[in-house]
Amino acid sequence: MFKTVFTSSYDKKMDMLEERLAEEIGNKLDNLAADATTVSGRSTYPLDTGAYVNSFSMTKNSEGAKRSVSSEGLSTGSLSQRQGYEKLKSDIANIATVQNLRSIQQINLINAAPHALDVERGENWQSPGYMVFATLRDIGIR
Amino acid sequence: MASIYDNIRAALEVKLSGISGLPEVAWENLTYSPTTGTSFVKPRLVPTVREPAVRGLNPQIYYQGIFRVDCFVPEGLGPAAADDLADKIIDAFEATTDVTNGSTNVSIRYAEREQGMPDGSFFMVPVNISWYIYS
Repeated sequence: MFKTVFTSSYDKKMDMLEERLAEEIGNKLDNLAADATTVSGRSTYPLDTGAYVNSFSMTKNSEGAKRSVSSEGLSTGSLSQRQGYEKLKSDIANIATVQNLRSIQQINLINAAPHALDVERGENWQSPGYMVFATLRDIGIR
Repeated sequence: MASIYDNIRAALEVKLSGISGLPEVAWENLTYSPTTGTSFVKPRLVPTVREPAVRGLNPQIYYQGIFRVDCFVPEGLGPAAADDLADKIIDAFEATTDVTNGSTNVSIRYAEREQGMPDGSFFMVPVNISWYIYS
């Protein structure tokens, strides 16, 4: 009989695979963050104060929204899309870790701006919404 | 030659207007004044993807998007009328349905509704119909 024990290298390979998995999840979430803050990368909704785009948060499991920015008192261009994206990247760094791989049941993209529903669906029947979440649902995670 | 989006819109709008029992339609970018107490629907074409379907020169192009139909019913009468209207539209555009108009054949990926909400003197339920076409 000839026998070779792979325990040590097996553990290393598993660790490496878990690191790659966490990295890949992070990359997918990063694509979603980019799409969310620019709506499929084409800036199809105009940036006004930036309150909406800075109200996105990404959370895991049953965690609630991390931020909600009101446009009250803000002037046009107060906050940028880039700032909103960087906040999501910070959220992703805390989610897509090897330690979290086995404990995450779901990942949530939330926009808790006071006017989030108006942005999505429009105000009154005359003003069409920008359908940010409907668009994200349609294009999926790339 | 009409643009592909004109053809897609025509196919989807013809299908919508053919639904039995459909109330008035507030067509996109046409003046419409709703009558309080009278239901209506408001469709909108929202392209989301345009990309080459294959690699190489002169590739076939894949188009994808949402045909959004907001269903408005009079406020204060409960959600049943809006639910029925949304159901009719979802049934007509059920997933895997092909919507044909002339030589344009638009395929439906999914049809789903969102939560209803008060909207002025109406109660509104949005229906999202996802479509795609290769051209």
